[in-house]
Formats: sequence, structure tokens, C-alpha cells
Amino acid sequence: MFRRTALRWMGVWLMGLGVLALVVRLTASLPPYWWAYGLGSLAILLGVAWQRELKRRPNAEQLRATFDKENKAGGLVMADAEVDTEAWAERQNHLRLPNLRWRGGRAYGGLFLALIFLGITLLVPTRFAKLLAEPPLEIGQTIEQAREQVNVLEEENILSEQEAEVKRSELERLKEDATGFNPAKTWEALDHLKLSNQNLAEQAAQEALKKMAALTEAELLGNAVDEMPKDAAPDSEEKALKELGALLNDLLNEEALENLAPEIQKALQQAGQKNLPMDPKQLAPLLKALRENKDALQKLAQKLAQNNLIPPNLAEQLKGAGELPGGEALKELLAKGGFGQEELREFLEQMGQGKGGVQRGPGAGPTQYGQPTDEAGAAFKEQKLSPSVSLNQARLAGVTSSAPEVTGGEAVLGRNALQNTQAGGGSALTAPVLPQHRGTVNRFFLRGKE
Amino acid sequence: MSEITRLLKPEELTPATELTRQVLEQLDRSLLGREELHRLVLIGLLSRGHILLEGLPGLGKTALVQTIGNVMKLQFSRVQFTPDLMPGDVVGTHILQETDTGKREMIFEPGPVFTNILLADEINRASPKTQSAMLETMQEHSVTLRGQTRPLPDPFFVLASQNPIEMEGTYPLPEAQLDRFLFRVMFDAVDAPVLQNIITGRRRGNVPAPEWQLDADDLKYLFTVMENIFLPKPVASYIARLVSATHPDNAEAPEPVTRYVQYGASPRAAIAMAEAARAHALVDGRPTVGFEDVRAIARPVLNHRLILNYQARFDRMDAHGVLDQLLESLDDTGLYLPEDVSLQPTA
Repeated sequence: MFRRTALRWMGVWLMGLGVLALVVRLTASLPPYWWAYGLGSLAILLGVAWQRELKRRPNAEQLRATFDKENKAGGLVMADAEVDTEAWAERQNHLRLPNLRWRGGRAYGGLFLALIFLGITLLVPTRFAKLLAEPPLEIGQTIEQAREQVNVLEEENILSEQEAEVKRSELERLKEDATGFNPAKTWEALDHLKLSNQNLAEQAAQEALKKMAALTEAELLGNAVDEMPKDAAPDSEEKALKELGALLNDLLNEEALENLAPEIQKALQQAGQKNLPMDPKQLAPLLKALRENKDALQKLAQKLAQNNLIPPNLAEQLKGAGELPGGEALKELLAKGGFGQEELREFLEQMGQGKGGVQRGPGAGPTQYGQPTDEAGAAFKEQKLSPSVSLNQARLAGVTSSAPEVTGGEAVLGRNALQNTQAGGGSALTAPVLPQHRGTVNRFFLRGKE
Repeated sequence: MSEITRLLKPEELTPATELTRQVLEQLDRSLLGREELHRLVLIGLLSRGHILLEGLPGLGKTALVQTIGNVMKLQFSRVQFTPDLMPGDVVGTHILQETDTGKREMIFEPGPVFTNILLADEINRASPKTQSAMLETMQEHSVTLRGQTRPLPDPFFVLASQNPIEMEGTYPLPEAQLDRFLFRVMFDAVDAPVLQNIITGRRRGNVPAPEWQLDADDLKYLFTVMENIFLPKPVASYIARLVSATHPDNAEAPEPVTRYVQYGASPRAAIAMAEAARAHALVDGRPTVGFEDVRAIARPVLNHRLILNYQARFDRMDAHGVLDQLLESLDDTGLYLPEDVSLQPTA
């Protein structure tokens, strides 16, 4: 009986061990000496089985009764324990001890199956097991795109080196943690990262747009001064150079003007601080520097747009802001002279505005109002509208080939069933009476009058 | 605790077994096709128990009792129970009589109960008062009237019959009174070959007279042997477990008992079972009682002692059905071997 219990319990135990091993292999790695733990627990199991069977062992009386029953001794064997049965010894000589027979096929089969199951769980490749446990999430391409964006932002100094490194390590971690069981979490993190990149890039693009507008104004003024006719007003050149100096100094302070020669940079700072006109000899290298800076800004916008960091229309907007407007009016103003520095600045600002509608150009300009419209003599034409009738109660009044005559509704209402009724004398609900029912309806209303 | 220290020797037991064999032979010869029933009735008589015979009219209940009386050379009386039968009609009454000296005295006139074998025919037709008076004599083996107790002849057996149909105008025996009967034996119809033998061999159904009779000394000897049939402890334990398992709240009670039985058998049932098992062993020629003896008499001993509930009525389950499943489920040795383990004798 112990063997029976032990085999059955071992089968269950091996099956349980197999399930445990499979779960551990799918989630982590098996601990070292796992087999020692297994054998230890098996020994405990066998000990418990032994103890259990020891307790369930039949007593001598039960064994004697079983012996008696199996031999069909009619109580003789049982009586032998209590009274003298010598007189019946001859009959007892023919008794045979019964054998305990166990049909253990099922227990052995169960144990064998449990062993096979355990073997399979231990032979399953870990890689396959991990694949089962953590199905991969294909985000390699998206990660690469995000990494490229970070690189571009770092190259263009939109992100500092440390910030870029943080973002790159975050991308690496996302790639490692990505699992098919919870894709939403990974995609949300990636979207958040890309959005933050795009926000930074858009911010940089907006700043570049402002710089581009300022650079364009400066280039426009520089070109006008450079091409100023000799018969221009005598003070125009000085005023224009002063304004140019102020503009460039502002650009310098906003770090919108780069790659300038140190002496020109110094001269610009002095001109800006002391409100002095610029040296005309420095005009040519300054114009060259302005164009180079504008080109750099445009390249930046293109790069950001190519990496999906800014919308394409923003890059287009930046390109439009870099285009020079016609400078004839400015040249005319300079030739004519007689303007103040403030007036020249307003003129320049207005020149840079109004190009490209909503999507193009700087856009942010002052609203200009003209004369208000005269309302004298204007009046609406009075017209009587027909009363509203719901469609399901509408009736066909007729078909015309021309526009229908507006009757005000009286004609339609006057022809219905309430035509001759007085107030309070009928129902508001009307229903068309079919020709075949009219006689009946008439008789109903005329009842008692006959 | 049994006082028996040694088993009956074969030479002591064999004559008794031979006597029972001869009784059965005479009964079987007189009443055809009732071998098992004769065996049960003989076991009941050897156990000194009363037997309730239940069956349809004309199945031979009265003939059986008459034959037993004839075979055993015992005094036999028959009472046909009717609703107006009074207790005095059964146990006897005092009659005012004038003696030879001219003095008037109340003289006791014994009733038909003063006999060895009493056939109480259609006992359920008598009023409860008469039933109670007779059932009291069954228990006490004596009659007490006007302060005087008169013992009944020894042995005294009651074989009562009951008709399971025509219940109108009857007074069914209450469970407490049914418990006084050792056995309730069902009379089934005999099969066609037996019927053919009856109508060809028995003109007008006359029962032939027995060729051999058991006298009073033989009967006493049988009772003495019965006293020495040994009941081993495991068998006594089996009887006790079997009777206990008829109670629905017992741990060993099988599902049909817990489902259908309202009240189980009484300790009197266990005593009756032990006695009947002894008698069965004696008839089988064994000095000891085995499990098979208990199983053989368990149904007639227990079938009228189980009080079934309404669920049993709904499911058309009777006491025999419950007992069949009880005997099947209860392991006599108490080992309860699993299904895949069995005991086989060595070659």
C-alpha cells in the first residue's frame, strides 16, 4: 500500500514540479541546485506517505476477518482469536493466506507521464521559453528615427550634450523593456519622447523665424544703403547706417548673427551703444555675413523638417521670411531723405509684412484701420415670412414651373378642415379625409339633425 | 462478552444441523417452491422470534404455519383478526361459573394465544387495542389478567400475516410494534413450473401430512446448540456498524440512507440480527457466525425497521432498495480497500 500511495503521490509531485519548473523558466532562471531541492522535497513526500500508510495499516482483527472472508471460513478464523477451535482444525488446514494484489498500471502510467512532462519542461530552450514569456515588440525603426532626431537636435545645439545623452539612454531602456505583452506602454513612452523633440525643434524654428525676419530687414537696409544714389539726401546715408548699426547690434545681442570678424563685431557693439553710424567700408562683409546666417537658418529648418521635427510648412514659412522684398520704396525714401530714425524703423517693419497670407511671412503685424463705413440710408427690406408648418403636415398646394407665389400662409390654412370652425369648436389635430370616408364622416357630424 | 470458551465439536453440531435439514426437507416437500422462505422461517423460529408474513391472499401463508405446526409437533392456533375482535378473544377471559360445591367463581378461560404457534391472520384488520394486547404477549411471553400472570407455553411463536392490498378498514401496525417482529418476510408469487406441480400433485391444494416430526426434546436440543453458536468480535462489529449505518447521521451511512431514511434501526434490530445470524450458521452447519450469515438475514431483519422519509416516496424508493445499497457499500471487514487493490487467495 505504501508503494501505491508513494507512486501516486510521486506522479502528482513530478507533475507539480514540472509546472513549477516551466513557470520559473518562463519568468526567470532556475535556481542553482534546484534538483537538490526537488530531491529533498521528494524525500519528505515519501516520508509523509510512509507515515500515512503506517497509520492506515489494518489491525490484526481486520486482517483475521479478511483472511476468514477470503477463505469463506464462515467465522472460524475469526473465532480462533477468541476461543478454542481445535475441534475444527482439520477444516482450518485447507485455509490459504490471501495475496494483496494491486493493479498499479494507472499509477505507473501517471508517474511515467509526469516524468515525461518534467523532462519536456526542462528541455524547452530558454530562448523559446523567453519568446513565449515575452513576445518582442518591433520598435527598432522608430527607435532609430528618434535617435537620429536627438542627434540632429544635439548637432544644432538645440539640445545640450547631457540632455541628448539622457534621451539616448532613455531610448535604449525603452528598446530593452519593450514587450509584446504591453505594447501600449512602450508606444506611449516613445510618443512622449518624440513629442518633446518636436516641441524643442518647433521652438527653435520659431526663434529662427524671428531671427530670419530681423536678418532680412538688416539685409534689405544694407542693400539699400549700398545701392544709394549719389544725389540722395546728404543725411540719409548717415541715418541709414545708424539704423543698420542698431539693427545689427540687436541681432548680435540676440546671438542671431554669427561668424563675424572680431573687428566688425567690436565696431557694431560701439555703434549700437553710442548710436553711431557704421563704417560704409564694413558694409560688404556684413552683407555677406547676413546672407551666410540666413542660409544657415534655412539649412537648419530643412534639416529639422527632413527629420520630421517640424512641420514642412514651418520650413516653408522660414524660407519665405528669408526672401527679400522689393527695395524700391526704401531706396526712394533714402533718396528723398527727411525721415527720422523711428520712421525708418517702422518703414522697414512694414516692408517685411504682408507677404504670404496666413501660412507664409512673419504674420505678426499691426492691424491698420481705414475710414468707417457710412451707414446712412442703409435699411433691410421688410418681408412677410410664411408660418412654419412641419413637413408631415405640409400639403401640396400646386406645381408651378416658375417661382411659387408667396401667399403668407393664409391660402393654405384657409383651405383645410378648420375653414368654417369657430375658436374652441374643433380639434387642432387634423387628418386628411379620404374620398371613400367622406360620406361616413358627414353622416357622423350631421347625426341628430336629420 | 461471550461466555463460550470453545466451539461446538462437529459431533455436537452435526445432529442439530441434521435436524434442521430434516425440518426443511419436510417443509419443502409440503409446500412447493418456497425453499428460501422455509429457511428464513426456520431461522426465525430457532431465534425464538416472531415473524410477520406479508403477501397477497392465497399464497400459502396459513398453509405454511399449519405445516410448521405439524412438522414440529407443536400446538397450533389460528385467529382471524377482524375489527370487532376484542383483546379477551385473543388472550382469554374470566367467566363466572358455578363449581361443584355450588360456589360461583370467575374461572379463567385461556384464549388462543396459549399455544406454541399462533397464526395471527390479517393482523392489521384488528383494532389497535387488540393489536396492542397481543403484541404485549409477544414481548412478555405471558398474559396478566386480574392481577395474575400466566406464562405462555414454551416455545411461543407468533406468525402474523398482513395483506398489503385492501388497506381500507385496516389499522396498519405502527413502527414501534413492527419492531417486535424478528423478520418481515415477503411472500412472492411462485413461478409457472411450481404452480404446475401444485395443481398436478395436490388435489384441491391439500398439503400432505409430514413424514417426520420434530419433537419437543429435539427442539430444546436445537435451542441449546443455538446458545453455543459463537459470534466472533469482527462479525459483532459488522452487525453493530450495519445497524448504526442505517441512521442518516452516521459517518458510514451511504448516500441512499442519508437521502431517504428518517429513522434507522433500533438496538433490538442488532440483537435480532445477531440471533438470526447464529441460527443461519446453525442451519449451514457451522459453529461460528460469518459475515455471509449476517448478510443473508440482514434484509428480513431490517426492512420493516427503517422509517423512510417523503423523499423516498417521491423517488419510489423502498426499504429493500436502501438496504441493498447499504449492504453493498459497507465493507464487512472495515478495511475499505481501494478499487485498484484486491485480495486473492494464493494458488
